[in-house]
Amino acid sequence: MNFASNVVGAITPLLAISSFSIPLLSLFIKNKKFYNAYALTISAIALAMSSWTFARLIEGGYKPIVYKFGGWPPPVGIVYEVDALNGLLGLYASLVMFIAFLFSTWYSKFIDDVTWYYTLLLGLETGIIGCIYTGDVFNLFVMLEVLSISAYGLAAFFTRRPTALEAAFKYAFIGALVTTLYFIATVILYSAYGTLNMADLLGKSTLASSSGFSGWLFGDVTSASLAAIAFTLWVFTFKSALFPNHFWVPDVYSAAPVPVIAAFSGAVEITGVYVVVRFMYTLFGAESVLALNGYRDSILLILLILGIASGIVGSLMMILQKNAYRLLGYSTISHIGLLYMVLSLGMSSIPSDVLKTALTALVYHIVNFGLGKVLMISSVGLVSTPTGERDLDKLSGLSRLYPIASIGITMAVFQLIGLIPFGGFYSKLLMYQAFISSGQPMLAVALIAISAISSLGYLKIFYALIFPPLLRSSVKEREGVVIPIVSALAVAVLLLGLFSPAVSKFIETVVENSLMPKGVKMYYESFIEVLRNYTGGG
Amino acid sequence: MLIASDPISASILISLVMLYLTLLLYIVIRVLKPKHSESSDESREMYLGGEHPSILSKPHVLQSGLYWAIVFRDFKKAYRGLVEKMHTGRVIDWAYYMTAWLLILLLLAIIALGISALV
Amino acid sequence: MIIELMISTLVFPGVLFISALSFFTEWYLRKGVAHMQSRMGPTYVGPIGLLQPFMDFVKLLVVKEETKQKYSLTWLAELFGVLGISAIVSSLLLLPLSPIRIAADYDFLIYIYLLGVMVPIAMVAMSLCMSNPFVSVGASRLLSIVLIVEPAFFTGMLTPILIATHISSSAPMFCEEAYCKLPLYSIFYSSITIGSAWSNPIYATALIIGLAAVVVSVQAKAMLNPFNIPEAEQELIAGIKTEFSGPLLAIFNLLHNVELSSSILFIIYVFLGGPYPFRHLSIQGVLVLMAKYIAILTLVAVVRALFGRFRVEQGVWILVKYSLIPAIAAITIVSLSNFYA
Repeated sequence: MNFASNVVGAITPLLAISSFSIPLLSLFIKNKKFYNAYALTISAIALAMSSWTFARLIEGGYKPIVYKFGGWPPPVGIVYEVDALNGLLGLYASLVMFIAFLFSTWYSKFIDDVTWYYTLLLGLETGIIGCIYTGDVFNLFVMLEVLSISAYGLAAFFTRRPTALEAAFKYAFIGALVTTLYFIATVILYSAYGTLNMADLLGKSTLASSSGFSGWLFGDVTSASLAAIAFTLWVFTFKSALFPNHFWVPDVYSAAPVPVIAAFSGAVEITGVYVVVRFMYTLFGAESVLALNGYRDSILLILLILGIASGIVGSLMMILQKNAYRLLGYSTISHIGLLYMVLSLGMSSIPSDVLKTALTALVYHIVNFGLGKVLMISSVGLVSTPTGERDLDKLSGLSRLYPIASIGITMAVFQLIGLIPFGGFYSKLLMYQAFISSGQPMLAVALIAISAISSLGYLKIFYALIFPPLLRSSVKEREGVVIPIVSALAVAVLLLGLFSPAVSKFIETVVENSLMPKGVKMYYESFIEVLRNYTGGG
Repeated sequence: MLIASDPISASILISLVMLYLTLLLYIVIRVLKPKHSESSDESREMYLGGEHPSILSKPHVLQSGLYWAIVFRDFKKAYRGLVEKMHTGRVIDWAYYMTAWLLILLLLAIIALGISALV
Repeated sequence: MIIELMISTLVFPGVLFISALSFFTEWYLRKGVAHMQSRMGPTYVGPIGLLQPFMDFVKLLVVKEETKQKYSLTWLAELFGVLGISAIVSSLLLLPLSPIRIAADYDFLIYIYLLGVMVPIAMVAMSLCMSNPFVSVGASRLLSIVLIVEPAFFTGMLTPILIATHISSSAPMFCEEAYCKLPLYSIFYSSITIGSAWSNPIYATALIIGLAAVVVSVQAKAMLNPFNIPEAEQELIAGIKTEFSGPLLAIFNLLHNVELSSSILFIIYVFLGGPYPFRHLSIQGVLVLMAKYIAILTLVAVVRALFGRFRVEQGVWILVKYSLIPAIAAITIVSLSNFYA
């Protein structure tokens, strides 16, 4: 238990230190291959550590693991608290990042300055893992800044491309403004609750019990929570690219390096979704002060409407796009919409077993969508990178040069549309179940409409890359490490479907032990236990 | 005989049946297919209603033209709104929609607090 | 059981049965429309031309040469076509018609993904394997129509499914024999309980609206007049079918006909309760089933004969007006009445 918690605490410092030591190393070592190996090793270690952590979680019956930074007890010091949900998502995110680093070893042929690139990419992973594992609202802000600043840098990575500069400038300008608002939200929370620890906040907002350490409440807790949630949701719907806050995605995708796009859609946006889930289901659940006068219900309703809007706008805009990655950006927006649609089924009128199905669908779809998307991006990346073109018309027929890319694109399209028996179908099936059994068949209709519209968008990639004859003679680049990446992911998406009884059962246990009342209670109890140990059983 | 089960195993069963049928039918069709010798060059050109393929600049329609009917006819109004009003690419337009969403959130909070102040 | 399943999917209600049904369907449509337009229709092969569609198929498959075009991916096109056909055939296992059947909670969604997503994708992918501007235009038109048709078809078919589940959970008196334990939201459940819902005026209204919406969407799914713009023979030569010949054309035609006949089959089960009020294994039951099939088919034939071809944007809006909106209205009626019941 103690060792496990130390592993949790070591992941982000390891990533951060290895990220910042790259500029130093670059004074002595100029070899590209060294940095490829270095970054890959670090991300592999992070992946191993997060999977080890998750294995310990399963062993311990999903009892959350708490790590105290500097040995300070929770409400005073910063803690990382890993429960079933962020344990799983941390594992998932580090897997996606590992794939991105692996892809980068191939991609680095096409970029000049890898040191800067890897510094930023490791910084991005630090931010992602930090945001996911943290048990502290203010540390979340710090990690969000780490994530965002690396993200701005990566978006602007190709400084010679005007589109990249424009996208990064817009993204950084709005992003800096947005993250400041989250800082204000933490200030408001601290001023009312006297604590920044997530479990302590949960105790005070929902269970009306104080840990003793941080005193009782100050001033008007209700209005503070309402204001803080309003700011927080706005910030993290920006990070996760929900409909009116989605504008940065297509611009950034159209110009960023390919592995970065994979990291963005597989991990960065998922981090945003995770934080929203954490705030709406753990910190401010159905019985918290937020439920005052139906505020929580109405917020969830609006998130539901925005989810539908996001799905429809994203998939309609896909039909219009010419740039392959811009199209994939809109497809991400559409999938994020689906995630928010199931995420917001936690209204008080909806029975808890339906909610459980919905949240299982959420986590399942995160994994399905993320892996499908990474598969798609790496296959399209294999075709588009050697030519330097991103316009679908200019890429036409090129995937005939790379059979593995054709297979990867086909599998990814099937996964993202959700054909039987791919994983994407089963998470959508759970979504339909949740929608229909909650008595809202219109949501199911919205889901099928979104799927129908977005399948036209995916067919565009299909149509542009696979079907047309290859007319121009192009030089074929060696696929190298992309072959194992694409084939492993293609097998993975198929297995996610074929083993869906086991997978969905497993995710259901995860959801039950993290987001349902039982899991929330465990989250609070581990915090209290750590506190008791510190104060000597008081 | 009724195989009642959960939807997940039902769909896996169905996809296995689908796989089996696909393979079987594909083989049957391959076997039944008449064997012909290599056909003439003319039949290998694409059929354009009697025109020669040289009238085309490209042998296929570009993907940007694939959804012409949807974008410029069926959902013209929707796309005009989406592109000209929303996805203009100007930061000020982003800010406009994003602020609206923040205002909705804050407004809801104020309403919820106002109700409790009144009651 | 595996052997039985393998045989059943090949014979009844598998490939042979559904192909025979689709040949009959094609013959009936051609003959019926010809009759309405004072033409002869097929007469040459078999009694009153009954075997004409079958012979057409055999001729294309076995005798006719397949022209291999320069840019074509024939093998991939064949594979997609066969995949579409097997998706339809395996969906038949969800019907009570099948001796070995699959029934599960929410299996309706499996049906929708097989018929509504898999088959259009197979058709489009099949045609796009042939590089030709006419094919691309046809495929683009087909996709425009699919965009509206699939949500409309799903919504319309959802109406009886919702009603059946609500009936069973609210009034146990419909729960006969072992049916109570049957899975909810399934095709099977809907087809054995929906017959009794027609006596409730609110449900009957919703069902009629939903049925109309679904019939319109089937018309469009099967690319029959007035929605045959994707293959528009005069202006697009043959649209998505331009480059198909020989066995490939045979596969495409079979896929198209099998889709139409299986859609009608599902409609008569899900909306009209199959052989209701009789049982399957009775003479009356079989006769009622056939009568319902022919009634729906006649409806389709009449619509086909009455209208000329719509342009694609007209077609899409007609579909929105007469299929999508009515279907949404139907499930709204059902949800509201379930909510207040």
